[in-house]
Amino acid sequence: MMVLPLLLTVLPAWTQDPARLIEGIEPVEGASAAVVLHQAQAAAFGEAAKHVAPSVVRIETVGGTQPVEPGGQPDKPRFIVAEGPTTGLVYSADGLILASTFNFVREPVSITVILADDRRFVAELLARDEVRRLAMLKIDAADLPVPAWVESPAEIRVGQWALALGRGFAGPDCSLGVGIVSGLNRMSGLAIQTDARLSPANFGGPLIDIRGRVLGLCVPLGLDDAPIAGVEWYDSGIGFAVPYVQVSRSATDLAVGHTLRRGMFGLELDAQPGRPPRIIGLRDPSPAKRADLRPGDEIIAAADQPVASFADLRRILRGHTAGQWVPLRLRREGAEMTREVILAVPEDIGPPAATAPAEDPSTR
Amino acid sequence: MPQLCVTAIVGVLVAWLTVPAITAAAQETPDLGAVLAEEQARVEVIAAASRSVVCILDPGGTAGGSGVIIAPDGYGLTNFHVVAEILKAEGEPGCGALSDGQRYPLEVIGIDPTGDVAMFRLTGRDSFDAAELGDSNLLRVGDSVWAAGNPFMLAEDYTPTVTAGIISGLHRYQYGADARTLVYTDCIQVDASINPGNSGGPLFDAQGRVIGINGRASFQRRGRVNVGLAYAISINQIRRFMPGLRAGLLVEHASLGATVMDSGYRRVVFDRVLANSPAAQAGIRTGDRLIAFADQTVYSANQFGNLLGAFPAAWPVSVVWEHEGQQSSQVIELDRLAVRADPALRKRFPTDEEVTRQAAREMAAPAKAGVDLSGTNPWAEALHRAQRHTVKLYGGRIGTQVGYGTGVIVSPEGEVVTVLSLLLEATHLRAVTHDGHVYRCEVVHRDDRRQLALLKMASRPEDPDTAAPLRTQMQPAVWEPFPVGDAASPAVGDWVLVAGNPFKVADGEEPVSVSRGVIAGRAPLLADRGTQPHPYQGEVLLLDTVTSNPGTPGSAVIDLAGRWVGLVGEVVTSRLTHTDLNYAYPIEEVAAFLRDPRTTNPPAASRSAAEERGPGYHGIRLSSIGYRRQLPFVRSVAEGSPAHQAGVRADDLIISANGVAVPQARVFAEVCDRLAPGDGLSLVIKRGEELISLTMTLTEPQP
Repeated sequence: MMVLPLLLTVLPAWTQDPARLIEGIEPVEGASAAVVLHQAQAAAFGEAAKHVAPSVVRIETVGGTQPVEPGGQPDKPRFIVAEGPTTGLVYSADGLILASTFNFVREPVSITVILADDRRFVAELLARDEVRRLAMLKIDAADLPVPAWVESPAEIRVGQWALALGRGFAGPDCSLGVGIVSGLNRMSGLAIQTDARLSPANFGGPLIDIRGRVLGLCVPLGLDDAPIAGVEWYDSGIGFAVPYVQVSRSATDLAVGHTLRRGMFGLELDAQPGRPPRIIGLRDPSPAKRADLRPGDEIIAAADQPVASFADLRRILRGHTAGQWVPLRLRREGAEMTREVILAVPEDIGPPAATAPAEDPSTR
Repeated sequence: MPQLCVTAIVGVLVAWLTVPAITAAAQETPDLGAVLAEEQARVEVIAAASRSVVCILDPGGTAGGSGVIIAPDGYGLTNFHVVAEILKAEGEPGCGALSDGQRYPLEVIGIDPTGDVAMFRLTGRDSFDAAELGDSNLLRVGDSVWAAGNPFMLAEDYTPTVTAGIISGLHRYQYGADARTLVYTDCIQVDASINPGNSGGPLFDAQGRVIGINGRASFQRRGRVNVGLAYAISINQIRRFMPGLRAGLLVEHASLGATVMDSGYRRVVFDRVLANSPAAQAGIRTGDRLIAFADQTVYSANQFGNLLGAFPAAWPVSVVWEHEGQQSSQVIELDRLAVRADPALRKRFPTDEEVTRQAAREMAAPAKAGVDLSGTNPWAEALHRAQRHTVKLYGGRIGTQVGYGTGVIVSPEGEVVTVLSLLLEATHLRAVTHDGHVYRCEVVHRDDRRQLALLKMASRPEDPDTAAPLRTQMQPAVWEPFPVGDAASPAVGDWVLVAGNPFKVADGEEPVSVSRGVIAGRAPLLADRGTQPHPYQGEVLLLDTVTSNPGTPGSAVIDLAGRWVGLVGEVVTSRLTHTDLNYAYPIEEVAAFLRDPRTTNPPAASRSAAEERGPGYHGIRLSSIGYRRQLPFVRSVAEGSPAHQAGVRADDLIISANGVAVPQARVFAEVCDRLAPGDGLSLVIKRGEELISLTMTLTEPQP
């Protein structure tokens, strides 16, 4: 077969002796072409991982308890958060370490960071971004190896290799999972999606491309706002990573100790499928009350994006944090108007009225 | 002709030619060029084919599945169970959303409730991007495939989720889980991640052609998330029903009017022939042997079900049977399979067998296998090994199964290595080899520490139904063992195949299921099996493909060169991550097990020094009050003790002991309990904001 000699010329230098391929086995005519390509891929996976591994740190924590899941769903198996080590990624040479909020849901009393060269540092948890599930640690170190990120969203394409690195299994090397980029702009644009196997072993670690550049930081993200939502999908091929465009938006706040939280308007909404959400109640006090929103108002746009259903509104707001002003387009008795409403933290919102909560979109 | 082959050569040439350009641009080793070229080609194929993928939404827009457009005028395919809700909500149309972010009205055109297929039509655009249909007869196990769809409705902008994998098995038969679920016949099994919401979406081959419609998956105790087994209805089956679907019909599946049963090895007989059925009219009688159906030799009742299920009613099919030693052959027009269908659906979608007859006349003969596809699938050697050297294990009473698993043949005498499990306690333990023969097994060696067992197969196969020796005059079997000698040491990132019997989807002599992954790492096994710590704490290979499925433990892990590099262990939960661990024993450990003297009653594991003499003494007492109850804070250090001499002080927080992270006081105690007098203990402690490393040598226990 003609393919064979051609292909051997591109045998990667780092693969082992080509004789290894056919050692003791009948060579399968023609199949070697694919074997050689796959061996080159395997070698490239290893090289990419080695390239980034010096920036991937192990995080050890002491103490803490299981997080309480608010409004846990009965059909969803509750995940028990382990005590083992987790993963982080060097974010700046002077000691900022990026990780996931998942790594600290147990609220540990002590956090230690172990660098790839085995040096160990006491770490301070500066702040969390509960929306993007990012956390920022600070260690007293200098000249740390900062990995290269793929900064432009346009450079990330569905179908390209995506490798997940982690230190959660505590071996001397990073663990490696291989997948592809499955989707872009997921979870209201917060994350890219991958079918690489993500789990507590690599949450907080990088998702990298075949050239060893960081595509995003692996975090659990799910269909609800529970602190560990998304963990139930571990190792299932449904995984998420926060890309640079989102990380950079968050990191400046986190580095100065500013925690980012999900915000609320203080609205109770009628969530009929396929219809714009209609206000049926207002918390008092609440930003919605202060902005003069009223029962009966329909929300037809938020943050300049059309809202055709409760799901739309939920999706749009998912990318926002408490403290942000959001313009809401309302329909009231046939007239349309716009109100700027700030998102507030739950503590600043009055108690709920006795109405059924809005339904979550379901899947099948 | 070998279109795929041509493509492969072109791809290779492109890869080869583009190397210098990439090198110049990125200063990388030239060898990465072929890898990058393949990646680029894949990205482009996916981008083009994704435009045909549809998110199908219920009238409410809150639930849905997936579909794929196959004609520019908007006709597309999905699962029947995806459009069932839309059909119920009469008046309100469903909608199909595309990756352009737009929703289009969706009308259900034709339905195949038995085969779980439906045809729909999108409107609202002059022309739609349509996917090309492939030929599922040309698929081989190990081929790269990818699935596209809308799992968990994650795509707010309606761009499909794309997941990659390989074909794990072909011609699979999937029973309905209950009376309401549909039987999938002759389906394609894949290891790509397919989840709720993927239903109805396309399975593509590497060139972006539709080869199946994804519809089902095997789930287990973790609930409805992918664990590496999903099933697609083959496009060649759907092709026969498509004229009827397109004509707006309810298409029906076929019946021969007779049922068959296995009767001995590779022997299938008619056990019931209905009066006036096509079979009866052709002269088939109860007890006749079925030789071939639709030009394929029939060797099991299950396989016959697979063949039959792929045909519509009224399709002419050739049948060869044998009556008292005499063969007959006839083309028989199949009858319709009686199924209950919703009367409302029957009213809305008529049936018309003339459409099927017309289609049968017009449909070109399907492509024959044997097209040269070499060069595109790297797993030929590994699959060859997987089939020849692995066995499916079943335990239980005769004719019933209470458990199942996988084993690997390791000696010419028919010894099989597998994992220790309840399966081995079964009264009737048997192994099914690649040729479908069934051998009684007995346990000849067990290792409680490694949790491995060695079985010995009987020298002659038995009848699967009666457990009596097979009537055939067979020589005692001689097996080809999977070599363990050339123990390869796989590197992190190396591709591997896991070959075994998950969810026992491979029936009889069907080839075992395979899934693809890489070596994810190496680490000591720190895991619990059930509530007990796993006794083996040596190094294991971590894998990035799911190994925690029922039946998978005992599977062989095989590399690209066809070498056996690991054996999947029992299902365990990692103590570090609290996840089901995907792992295998390295082949060196299996080899060591096989070198051990054989025994079925292993002596109690030799007691460790710590157990003999009691744990060594360090002199640290941990705090146990207030919120510090579970924290490894030092309360006091005994005067003159090793810890005292090493400099441990009250209020120190122990971070790590002998390299093991200490998140709780309990873990510190576990580490120390294993240490004998004379052993070293190195601690990392946190004192204030300072980390301090200390080492000590433990002494005899103090009274």
